[in-house]
Amino acid sequence: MPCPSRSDELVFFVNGRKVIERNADPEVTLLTYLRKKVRLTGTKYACGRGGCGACTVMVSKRDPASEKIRHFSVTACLIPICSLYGAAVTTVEGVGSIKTRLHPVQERIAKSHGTQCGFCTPGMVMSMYTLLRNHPQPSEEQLMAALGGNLCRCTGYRPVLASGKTFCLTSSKYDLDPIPRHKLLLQVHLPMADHKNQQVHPKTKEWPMIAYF
Amino acid sequence: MSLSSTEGTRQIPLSKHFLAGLASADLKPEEILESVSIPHSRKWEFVSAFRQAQCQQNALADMNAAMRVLLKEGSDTIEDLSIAYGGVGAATISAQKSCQQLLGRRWDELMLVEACRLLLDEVSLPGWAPGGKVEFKRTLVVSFFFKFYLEVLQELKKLVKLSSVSGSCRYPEISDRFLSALEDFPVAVPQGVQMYQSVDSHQPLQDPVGRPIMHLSGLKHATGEAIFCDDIPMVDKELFMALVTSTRAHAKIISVDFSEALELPGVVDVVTAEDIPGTNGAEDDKLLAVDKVLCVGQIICAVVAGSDVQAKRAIEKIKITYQDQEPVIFTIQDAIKHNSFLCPEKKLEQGNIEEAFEKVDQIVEGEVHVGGQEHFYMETQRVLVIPKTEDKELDIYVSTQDPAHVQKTVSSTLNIPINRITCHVKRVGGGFGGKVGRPAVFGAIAAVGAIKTGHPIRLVLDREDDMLITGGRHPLFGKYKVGFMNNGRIKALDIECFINGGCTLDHSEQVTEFLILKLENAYKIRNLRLRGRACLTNLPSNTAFRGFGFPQGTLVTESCITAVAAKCGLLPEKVREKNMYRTVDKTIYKQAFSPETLIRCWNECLGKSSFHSRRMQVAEFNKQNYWKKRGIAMIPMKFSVGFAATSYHQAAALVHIYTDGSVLVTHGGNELGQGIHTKMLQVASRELKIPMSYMHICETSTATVPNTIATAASVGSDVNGRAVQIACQILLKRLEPIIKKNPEGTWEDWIEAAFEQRISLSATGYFRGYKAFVDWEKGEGDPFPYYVYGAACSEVEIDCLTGAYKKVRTDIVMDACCSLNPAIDIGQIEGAFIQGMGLYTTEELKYSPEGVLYSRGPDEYKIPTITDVPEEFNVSLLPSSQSPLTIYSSKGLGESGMFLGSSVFFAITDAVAAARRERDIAEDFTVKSPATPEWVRMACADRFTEMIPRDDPKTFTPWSIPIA
Repeated sequence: MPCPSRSDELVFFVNGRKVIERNADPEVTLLTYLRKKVRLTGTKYACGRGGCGACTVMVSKRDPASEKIRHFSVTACLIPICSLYGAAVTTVEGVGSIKTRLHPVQERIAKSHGTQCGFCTPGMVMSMYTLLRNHPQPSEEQLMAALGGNLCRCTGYRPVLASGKTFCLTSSKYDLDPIPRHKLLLQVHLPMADHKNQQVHPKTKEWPMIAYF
Repeated sequence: MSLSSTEGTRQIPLSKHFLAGLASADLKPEEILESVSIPHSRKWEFVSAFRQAQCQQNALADMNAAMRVLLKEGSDTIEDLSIAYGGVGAATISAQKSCQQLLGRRWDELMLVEACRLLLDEVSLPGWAPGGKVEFKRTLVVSFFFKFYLEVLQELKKLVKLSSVSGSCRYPEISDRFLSALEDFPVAVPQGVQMYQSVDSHQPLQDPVGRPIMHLSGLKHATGEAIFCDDIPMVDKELFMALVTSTRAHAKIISVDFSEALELPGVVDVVTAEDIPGTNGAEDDKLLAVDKVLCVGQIICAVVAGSDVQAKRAIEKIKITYQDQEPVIFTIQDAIKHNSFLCPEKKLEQGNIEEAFEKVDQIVEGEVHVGGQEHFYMETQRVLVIPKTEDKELDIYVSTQDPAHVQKTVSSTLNIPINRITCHVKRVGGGFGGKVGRPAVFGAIAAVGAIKTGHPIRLVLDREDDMLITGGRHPLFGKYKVGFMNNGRIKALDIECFINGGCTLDHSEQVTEFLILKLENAYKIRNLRLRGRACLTNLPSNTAFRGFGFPQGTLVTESCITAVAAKCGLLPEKVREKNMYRTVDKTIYKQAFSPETLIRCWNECLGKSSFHSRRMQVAEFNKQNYWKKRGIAMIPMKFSVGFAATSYHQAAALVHIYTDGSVLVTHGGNELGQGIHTKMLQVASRELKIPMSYMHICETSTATVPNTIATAASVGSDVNGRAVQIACQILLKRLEPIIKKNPEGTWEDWIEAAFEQRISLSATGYFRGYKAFVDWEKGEGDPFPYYVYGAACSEVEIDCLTGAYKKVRTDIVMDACCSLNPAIDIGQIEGAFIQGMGLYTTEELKYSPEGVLYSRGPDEYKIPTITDVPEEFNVSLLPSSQSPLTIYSSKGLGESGMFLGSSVFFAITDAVAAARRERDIAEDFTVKSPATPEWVRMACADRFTEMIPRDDPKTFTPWSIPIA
């Protein structure tokens, strides 16, 4: 979006909705703006210095060189709203909700037992969601890199990673096949509560939004 | 670098002038960096970069380096050389002089020696350098260069082979055993298997007990719809509170001047001790400081303002003058010297150690230092206090493990009866023990503000403040003396532990008791003396933390085993087996137990991890690699759950059935992420024989279930599960006649009939639990309802030149008995293990010599990230073991996994020992946790650690001091 000259209007988008701020406070961060102004509290404050990933959101901007839209996962606590002119911000609420529809990332992290206290989960979801927007079928290495900045103190990460691996092309051990059962009534691999055969759309290369109930 | 500004663009080279900060070679204020272009390297030019941080990813480097050399074509003569280091000063440093002097030299061993000497001279770091780790960094200066030296040789070898310029010159050969120095640890994607027992095939499908049910809030967590304390919308006239803390460790408060702060926009009031209507905490543990402060970070007063920004701005304007007091004690050693203790010594003893020491083959003495740990719950401490207009009522929404304690503390602080105060806990963003005691302090201070101003008060701690104020796990210093036979049998053991309790008692006495009670771990040692004391120091008070003394203390016991093994020339695992409990026996405090499942866990873990064959592979690897070493260790665990006080073993639940058949369950446990609400509904579902979808848990509230105990000590589900069970059984009993009359009816029919017939559809279940006691005079008791057993085997690989390590594999076998929910229980084990691994490897709290905590955020304090998970990570629950005492024979697994993280620690020390053995350095070294890369590097002593300059500690004040 071209910047109109001599305007004191800051325009950007939050979950598809246009927001216009007149005389925006340059000290206000995106995190504060989301939590206090827009009242979207899914994005959490946990460290305030971009070190833990709990406030991760997706920022989409048009790349002036390639004219393409590029998606970035950013820590909202470090982003001044004034740097967002013309950008589109997607928060965890914009990805999906129980009321409307869950996104597979949300459904699978929960069903893989990847949430305990749940405070880091929105950030985890946003890191994975942004990865999938940029790479619909990422490699496991890309997944690791995408989650490298998201701290979790409860789970020990294994189940979070397991949920992400279901999106990976090279997923070997945690595939969507039925759960193998050991002869001695032992269950191998924690099963994920069943989910429909979600696949990348052949044309749009995007993951479908699915209805939960 | 291409720079641009309104005046145009220009290029500057990233050269020595730039690094030196010359104005002509630097960015101007109006310029922005547009791009950086990196030239391709030429033939005979070699470029490499190195970095070492506290952990592999998501961490700022302690030190990094970039090196480039251009050799004269077809030779090994240095034509051009540049070396730059980061982490040794405020900006990147170029080792210009050294490079200059090495020009024309041949790329050989002599040059290496000379280069190391020059570099250490030029890239010097004073002993007091900010950031500390001085000797480590000095060692890295030369270690990195050595790596570069080898890399270039290796590349030259390839180049010579390719271009067949053989004969023109000969390069020094690198031994194959040295090649491993060249490889970095790549990020690997963890794999693993979790095993547990499926429910019996006869169990009705609708009965959820024992099934891997998803966390009730799982989907809400993932969509952000789950409401945490600070997500509650702003209430009418709400004000924000920020805390003012002491900047001195031990001082008299001369004056507090907040006049300037009060004049700032938005500032409403300042709350001090004088505003407290009731009692201001305890005599030696005040909520708000009066006259004196005992540590940096002690709360002095609080500012109330319209917004968080305004409140925090006002804090900076409050002027406090102090008069420093003596003594100022931070370390355990100083506390011992000053006889500064919080409570009397706790001691347990059996047999006669003095006599036994006389009859043993060998005696070893040693010391162990275990650093503290920050809880780092993702949700910092927070509370919202809403005063009501009538009868002094208060509603408190708080992130806590113990709402009844918050309620009680607020009551005594405000001098208002407990029945006017209601505490609500919807969910807590992680507790780990850190939200047992502290939330009451914040709740009470916020409540004073609410009463004083008449407004609702929201208090949300910054991460910095949370880490500074709230304390954490007690650092520990342990001394042991062990007498043993040459076959590894330990005959006598004497352990004395000191924990750093900080400036108030808090839970330090109980932690000391737990430590002593659990110190023997899985070992039967006939002549045993265990002593512990809590030190009073001028640091923020340490408090409860998952494991409650066990993870620190037992590291001493296990270190002692490792030392015995080294002296006997045996595997530590052999010594562990030899001294482990084997048959039904009594602990040191004379509680009888059967170690059968302990032995099963151990054997199963030996098998699942293929321990013995991998041990041999590790030895083989170590033979073939000089600069990389592997280590493997297996650790047994006997962990006692519960509080050693009878009053803690009780719980209540309130179950309502409404006329539409829906059920509301309330109990005394708090949802901290451990899935207690999920488990409670599983219990209620089995008891009432209706699906979980009929049921709901709204919140934990002091109004529905009063006088609760803290959700802690691994027994939350045990005691509350029984209470829920009892309540459901009472209800079902009442419904029985109705069901009998209409057996074909639906649940809804029965409930409707019950209402018609005036049958109460609400019941309280009260569980009167274990009668726990300890007689410390006699040193005996029956303190714990049961034990959790487990074993873990971990393998690591270390880089002796940098101290980096990777976790190759971990196998855990845990005795969960009949798990209520294997998904949740495995989650607890995995989560606790990784947290424990953090405690023993990368989580390092740093304090200044003035007692100021430096590590106040995720940048300085490194909890494990996703890349720290072992590359192969297997967890299995031991099949079908029985524990008759608990709800459906399940076991509480909240804390026990923590200690199993020590298997990684002992694998690291095993690898370090292998390196030291090869270099003929004494195998016994001071055991220090966490085993950071710094510790690993310095323990793997070699020619490089020897060539660095060392400072006389008396000549300078270090940047940080060890407090354990």
